[in-house]
Amino acid sequence: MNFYKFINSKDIRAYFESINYQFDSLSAAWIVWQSKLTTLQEKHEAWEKIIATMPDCEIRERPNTKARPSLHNYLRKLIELGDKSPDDMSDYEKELIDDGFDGMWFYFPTPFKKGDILTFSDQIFILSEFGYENGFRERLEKNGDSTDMTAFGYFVDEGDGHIFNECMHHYMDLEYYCGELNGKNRILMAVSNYLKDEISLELLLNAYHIILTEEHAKDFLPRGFTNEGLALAGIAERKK
Amino acid sequence: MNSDFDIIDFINSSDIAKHCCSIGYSFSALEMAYLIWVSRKRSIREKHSAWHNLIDTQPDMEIAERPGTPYIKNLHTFLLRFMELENKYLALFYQEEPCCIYSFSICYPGNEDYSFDNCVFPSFQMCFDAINAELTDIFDYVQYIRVKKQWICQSSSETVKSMEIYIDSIGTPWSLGEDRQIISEEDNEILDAFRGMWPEIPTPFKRGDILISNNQRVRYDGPFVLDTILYWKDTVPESTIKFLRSRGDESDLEVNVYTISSDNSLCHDHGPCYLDMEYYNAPLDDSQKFLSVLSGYIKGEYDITVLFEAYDYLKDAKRRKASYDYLCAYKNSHLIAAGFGEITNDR
Repeated sequence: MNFYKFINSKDIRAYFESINYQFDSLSAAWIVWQSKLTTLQEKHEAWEKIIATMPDCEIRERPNTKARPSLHNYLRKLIELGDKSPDDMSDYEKELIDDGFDGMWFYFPTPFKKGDILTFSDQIFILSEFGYENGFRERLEKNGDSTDMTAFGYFVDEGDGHIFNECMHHYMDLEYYCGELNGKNRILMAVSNYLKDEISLELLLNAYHIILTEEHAKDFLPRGFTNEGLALAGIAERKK
Repeated sequence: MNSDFDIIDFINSSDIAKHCCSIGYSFSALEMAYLIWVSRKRSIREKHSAWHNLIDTQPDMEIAERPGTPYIKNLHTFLLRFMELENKYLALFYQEEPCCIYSFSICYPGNEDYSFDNCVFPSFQMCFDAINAELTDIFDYVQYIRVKKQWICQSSSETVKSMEIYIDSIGTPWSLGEDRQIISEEDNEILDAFRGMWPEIPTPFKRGDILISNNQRVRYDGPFVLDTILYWKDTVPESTIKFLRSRGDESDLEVNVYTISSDNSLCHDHGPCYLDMEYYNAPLDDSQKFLSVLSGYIKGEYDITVLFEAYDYLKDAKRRKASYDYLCAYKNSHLIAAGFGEITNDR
C-alpha cells in the first residue's frame, strides 16, 4: 500500500518516495490519521488495507494515549464510527478519539537541514533544529505526543521586524519556501545563509541592521502625501 | 635547569604563564629558546643568561629550514652565535662616533609611542641623560623607551644607516629594535631566525573569551572576542595546521578576533599574537558591552536573537550619542518644554 499520498508535505512525500521509506503498521495508521489532503473514506480504506495486509501490534500506553492490545481492533472501531460528529458520540466513542493518535509521537526522516527556508500554514521560518535533536529523541519516543513533533527556527516579527526563536508543532507539514523574500523577510535570507556557513557572523549582523533600518524608514514614510510632495520633502525620488 | 631560571618568568602573558604552570607543561628546548627570545619581561643580559643555562641543561637539536629561518644544525651553536651578534651590535650601538646622532621615543602605558624627534645627541649617554630628565616625575610608569642611533649621510647618494634598541628607565638594554639598517644581511638572517618559527604553546583561552593584548610595542587597541588560534584543531583545518607547522611564521601567530570599530560595527579581523593575550578584566564601555553578548553567543549561552537585539542597540547607540551631544547645547528649561525632560550625563 502506498501511504505517501497521506503525507501533507509535498517535499517530505517526494523525499519518502526517493528513499522508498517503509512505514510500520502503527506509523502508517498515524500518517493516514493526520492527513489533511484525503477524504475520510480514503482514510478508512487505507486503515482496512493495514488490517488486511500489515501485522497487528499493541498500542503502548503513553501520557495521552490509552494502552490497547490490538491496533487492528482499534482501527476497526474507528472505521465503525464512520463520519459521526463528536456531538453525537458516546463517552466511550469520544475516548476512542481523544486517547488515540493525538497522543503518539513518531520520528520520521525529512530532507530538511539547518538553515533551510521552510514554510507551513503561510508562515516562513529558518530551520535551526528539530525537537528530537540533542538527545531528546529517546524521551519523546517514550512520552511525546503529536504536538511534540516540533521544529525550531527563526521567524520575523511582522510588526517591528525583529527575529525571534520559536517552534512549530507538526514538522511533517513543513515544505521548502520557494517564493521571494521581500521587505523585513529579507533578513531570513541572511539568517539562512549564516546557518549554512555561507556568510560570516559579521556580515549577518550588519545585514540585519541595514535591512531593519531600511524597513523602519519605509514604515516612517508619511501617509497621505503625493509622490511629488514627498520628493519636495527630499524623502522620495522625483519622477523624471 | 638551575633554580634561578624558570621559563615561566619569561612568558609575556601572565594568563598563559599561569596555565602552563597549572598543567605542568613540559617545554621543548626550542620552545624555551623561543619564549626567551620573544620575552618583553627580561633584559638582554637575563636572556643571554637563560640561553646559556638552556645550553647547559637541555639537549641539543637540529632545526629544519623554513621560510624566514635558515637550517640550524645545532640549536646550542645557533644560540651562541645569536648572543655573539647581539653583543656585537649592542657594542656598535653604544660606540661614540663623530658622524652619529642618538634620538629617543617613549611609550607610556595605554598611550601611543611619543617620539622626541627634535632632540638629537652626539652620544648615548647624553641621550640617556635627556631621557632621565624627561622621566623625572613618572619614572616608574614607562612602558618602553626606544633609542635610535643614526649615521649621518656623508653624500646624497649614501643610504641611511641606523639601528635602535629598547631600554628600560635605568638604561638596561631589553632588545634590539625593528630598525636594523646597519646590520648586515648575513647577520640579520640569524637575528631574525626566530621570526620564521611557529610555536604551539598551550593557552587557557577558549573561543568567545574577551581578551586584550599586553604588547605595547605592537599596538592592538581595546578588548576583543577571540575567534580562533591557528593551531586549534577544532576550528582550523588539519591541512592548514600541517602547513603552518612547516612554513608558518610570526605573522601566523596572530589570532582571529571580533572587535567593534569606531562606527560601532562588528569586525572580524586579525588580532594580536596569541602569546601576548590576557583576559580582559576591566569594565567594558558602552560600545564594548556588545562584546559581552557576543562572547555569550559564541559560548552557547545566548541564542542569536539576543545578539541581533544587542547589535541593533549598539548601532543605535552612536546615533543616540550624537543626539545627546546635540541636545546638551540647549538649556534644560527648553528641553523640558520640548518634552525631552532634563538631560543628564547618564542619559
